[in-house]
Amino acid sequence: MARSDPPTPSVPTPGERVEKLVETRLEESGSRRTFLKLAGLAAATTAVSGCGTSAPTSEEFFRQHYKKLTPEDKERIFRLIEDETLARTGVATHISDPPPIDGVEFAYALNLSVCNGSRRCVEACARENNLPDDPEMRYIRVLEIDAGTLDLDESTPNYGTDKVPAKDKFYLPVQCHQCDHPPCVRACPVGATWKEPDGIVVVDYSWCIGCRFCVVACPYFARRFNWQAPTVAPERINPNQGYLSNRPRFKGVVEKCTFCLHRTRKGRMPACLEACPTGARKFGNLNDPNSEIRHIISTKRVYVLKEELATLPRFYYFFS
Amino acid sequence: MGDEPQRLHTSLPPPAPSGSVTVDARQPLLPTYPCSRCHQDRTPDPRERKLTQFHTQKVLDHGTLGGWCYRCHTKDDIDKLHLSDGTLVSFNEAYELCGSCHGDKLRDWKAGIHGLTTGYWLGDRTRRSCPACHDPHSPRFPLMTPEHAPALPRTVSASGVEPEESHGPE
Repeated sequence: MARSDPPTPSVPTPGERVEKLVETRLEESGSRRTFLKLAGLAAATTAVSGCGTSAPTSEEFFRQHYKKLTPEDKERIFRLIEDETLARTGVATHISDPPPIDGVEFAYALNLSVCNGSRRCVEACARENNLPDDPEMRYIRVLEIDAGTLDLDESTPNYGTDKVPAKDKFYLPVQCHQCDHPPCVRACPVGATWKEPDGIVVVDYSWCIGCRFCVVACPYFARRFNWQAPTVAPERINPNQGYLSNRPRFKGVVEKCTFCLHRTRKGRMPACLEACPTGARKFGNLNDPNSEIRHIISTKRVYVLKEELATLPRFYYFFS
Repeated sequence: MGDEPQRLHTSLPPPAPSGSVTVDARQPLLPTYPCSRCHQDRTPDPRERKLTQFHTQKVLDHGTLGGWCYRCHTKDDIDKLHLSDGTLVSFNEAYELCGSCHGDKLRDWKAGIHGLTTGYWLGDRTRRSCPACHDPHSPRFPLMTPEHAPALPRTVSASGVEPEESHGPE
């Protein structure tokens, strides 16, 4: 989508202001240090500006970190985002911010014996979380692995559309493992990503500077970067949005699976689970001794990916 | 921002498990139910043979399961299934019949581990009965056509990274 003109040409947007500053400073024998400083600021503005379509409003540019937003701030910001989405796409959305539920720690389990590699979870996730189709972004990768091995180096997510399961193959979907010791969080230089009390690792898209340290730090390749402005066809937009999950993102920020927190913090199952044709995916509260997830962990042989890294994932694989 | 959120462990009581588990009813989904509508006028024929008049689409490929239709269906009460001990079960409780051989799967299914359960992890949820996914006559899960493969980045072709495009404008 092309960037539209700023709504009020008389008042320069922060982006224009910074560009102008850079220009004038360069003409006056500006030192290299000043230039770099300004150039950095300009780059930051570009990263913030994304929104896919329009230059940032001063509100977006100076918006506080999520953790410092008051309920009034949130109310105002959510309505602003809703209005912006409505103006840009014609779709009425609703943004909420469900808090973590006391006493709940989420965990996920996936039955590798029955997963058939149909990638239904991948697409359901894309629809639920408003993931762009151009350039395509998907949170879940389904690895095809030779039966009898568990060699991730020899696996591929790029298998075609021949019937599955293929002979002598099995399938291992990978998404964010919501680690209890998340290396991505430690890598973030600005605190734009953190672990919530229910275990979900979230990103404040408005605070992310797009350095992609977290992308590199994640041993599961679970984080995605918006190299281009993400666009979702209006008819595919999911209007039920969470501020920390599937609300509109912009060019230059990182995003990831959030266990569909806008659903799961309201008690629902994640979208990938409900889309699974084989019922391989299980989800629930780790702290509830009667939950299905606890039953799986206590009665099945579960394992996690790259256990040796001590990331303590909340995403378990099992055979049953 | 630097402060790590505290892990809850189990200090707080988990929310009380609320809601119920509903098993999807099968009978409304069976196109020819009630069976007695036709079968009341017919004499049961327990011989194994090729069906030419009715139920011709059914393929019986269920392991070593022998005994033809009346291994599971009930000769004297065609609208019901029966367990090996003769206990009648409705089509809605077909899982009891499946579980009389596949006990491990029934155990897991009742615990919510095997099969698809949708709805609310904290509230009402719906569980699919065995025949929703496995045709009892040939229960192997059918092969499926997967969704498309992930799109490759613009700079990558199927044969590898394109040398010209691999570096962005510097």
